[in-house]
Amino acid sequence: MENKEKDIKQIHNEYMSEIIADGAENETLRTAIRRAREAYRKNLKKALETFPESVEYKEKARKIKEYAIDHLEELIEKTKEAVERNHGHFYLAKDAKEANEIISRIVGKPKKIIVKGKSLTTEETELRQYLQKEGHEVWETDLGEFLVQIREGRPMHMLAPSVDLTREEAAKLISKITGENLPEDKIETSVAAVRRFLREKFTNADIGIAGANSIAAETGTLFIIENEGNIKLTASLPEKFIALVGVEKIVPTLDDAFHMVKTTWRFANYQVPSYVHMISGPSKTGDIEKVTTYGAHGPKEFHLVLLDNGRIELSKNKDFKEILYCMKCGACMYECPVFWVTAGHFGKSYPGGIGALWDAFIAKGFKEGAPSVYSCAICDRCRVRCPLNIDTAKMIIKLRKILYEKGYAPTTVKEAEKQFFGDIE
Amino acid sequence: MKVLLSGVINLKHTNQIDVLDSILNTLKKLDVELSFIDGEVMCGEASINLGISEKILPIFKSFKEKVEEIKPDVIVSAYAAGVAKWTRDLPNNYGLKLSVPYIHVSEFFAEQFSKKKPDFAPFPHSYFIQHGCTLGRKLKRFSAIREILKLIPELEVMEEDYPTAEIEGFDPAEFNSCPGSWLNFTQPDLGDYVKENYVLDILVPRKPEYAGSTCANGHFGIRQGLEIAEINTIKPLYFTQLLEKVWK
Ligand code: SF4
Ligand code: SF4
Repeated sequence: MENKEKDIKQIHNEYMSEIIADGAENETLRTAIRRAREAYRKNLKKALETFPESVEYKEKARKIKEYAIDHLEELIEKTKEAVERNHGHFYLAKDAKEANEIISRIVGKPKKIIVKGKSLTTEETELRQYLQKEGHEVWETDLGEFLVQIREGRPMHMLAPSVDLTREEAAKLISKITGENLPEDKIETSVAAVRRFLREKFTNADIGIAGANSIAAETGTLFIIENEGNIKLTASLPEKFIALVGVEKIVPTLDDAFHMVKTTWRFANYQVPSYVHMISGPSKTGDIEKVTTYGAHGPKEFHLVLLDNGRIELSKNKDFKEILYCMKCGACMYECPVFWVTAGHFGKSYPGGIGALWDAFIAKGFKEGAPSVYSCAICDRCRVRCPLNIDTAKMIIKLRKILYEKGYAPTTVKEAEKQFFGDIE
Repeated sequence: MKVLLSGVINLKHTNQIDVLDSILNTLKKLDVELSFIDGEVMCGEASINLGISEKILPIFKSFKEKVEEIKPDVIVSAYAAGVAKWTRDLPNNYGLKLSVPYIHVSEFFAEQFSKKKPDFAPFPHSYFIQHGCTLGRKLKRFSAIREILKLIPELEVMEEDYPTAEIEGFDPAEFNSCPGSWLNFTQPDLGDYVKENYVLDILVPRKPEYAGSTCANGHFGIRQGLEIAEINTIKPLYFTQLLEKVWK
């Protein structure tokens, strides 16, 4: 008992030191988030004025997710059938360890060059670190994620992993890796330097890895939204393409999958993203004698690794299954008062209040996830901003009850309890 | 009319005696009979928010019993938490219902003022009002405070705007920022930064002379935030304190 208490105390203390020292005390971070929030609001306004019908997307998207999460196992089976029909390889990993092992086998030996797109699911399994330990050269190719990699940090937002960095800090970091002396006030020169640096990695890469925004079970089609063009290269230049995707991203039909990505990008504040990829299998041609041959210009092999890691069980939990509706659009974070001062230090693998729930149920477990659950101000602002009306505050409150019973509440809660209610026992 | 004022203990706990006094003084102006619960403990949403609700169910039951003894016509509180608890959570989740309405103190004043218009002196100053997260966003009760403030001549009322609220069909107040008061009970150190940021980010750029929240918990957050940020150009003022200033 004593050990357990000491453990949880330590977990709370370590988290508090990080969130305060690296987050709340960091004035630059606050400025960066403020700028990002203002840009988010401005862009969202423009997007909604240009496409007012987007407001109606929200309700339909919620219905699609409700259905999909209630029929998750059936949809996983359908996806498997479709992927295999398309000459892809299908895997269902029960946890993070198994997912990394599967991917490691697909990657093979000896040392490979791997280019990777931004994916929170790979953060959950710590795939990059796993493959690097195995001796492979792995490059994050999303600019924000590339910055996370070179500063050995972790993503600070679902879609904008380096949202806490100013242009000056970014230029310094990039200069270090490219050996140039980039001007600190010009974002374009920093972007161009990364483009030059990664171009060579793309052309020599053996493997491409990415996540996906949604999957259509009926056709096994992955939808991936991006703006930079790095996914385009990641998913087409290497010989093998691997997608690691959480099972909750599956929806029944192609139309549903497209509706989900449309809603995601609109509330992630794009009018229209530069690219939306649909990938259903390996590259193929039938141009000679109508004989289907795989590996024309794109990857010869297509592997879909679906990650469970507690999601299937969660889909059956009526109090918390709403967690799985999250499309990771990141909109709620721009309106969260705690995120405003801490960025992704509020959360672990997944940022923000919804991230605290993902950490607790999926990525980290109740004990390690407890401190972020108690960092939410339960103001409910995220629900209003969320296109799916996900009631994060309500679930946080319910989860606190479980954590309290398990003895994972911080000592402040015990103190407050005593102060307000005396010794109830 | 017999009015039971709930949440007195919370105002004392947070050392908001000035707010408590103003509530008492303004209620007295309405000529109501005031009553209180002896030994009342904090029984609002705190229990739920901290995750200890069921354990303190006996406290709610005893509150109900005391209300039945006192037999007020209405229960009022400056805390939206109590309102949410007794109108939503306790009846829905535990079948605990009160026989009299439990409303926010702003709603009580708005109702009384609609029956008899008060005589208010002009107050040519700017006042920023934050709709408390529970009363505003969660219960969508924004109108009472707006009606009250409208009655004060020359008062410049400021509210936080939100750029897409109209397009999305929301009342802008649904997006009101949060001064982070609930963090006082879970992560108080972190809470101080959230409160400070609320003041620097939301209040300071709008330059009101006074600021307050409908909810006494939010109001406490704003007061603390002003202190932490060392801002003395904006004065915290609960709406009943404002009423005291203008009510002839
Ligand atoms: S309820 Fe929690 S996660 Fe949601 S906006 Fe408020 S503080 Fe952030
Ligand atoms: S909770 Fe809602 S707003 Fe936040 S990331 Fe998920 S879908 Fe987007």
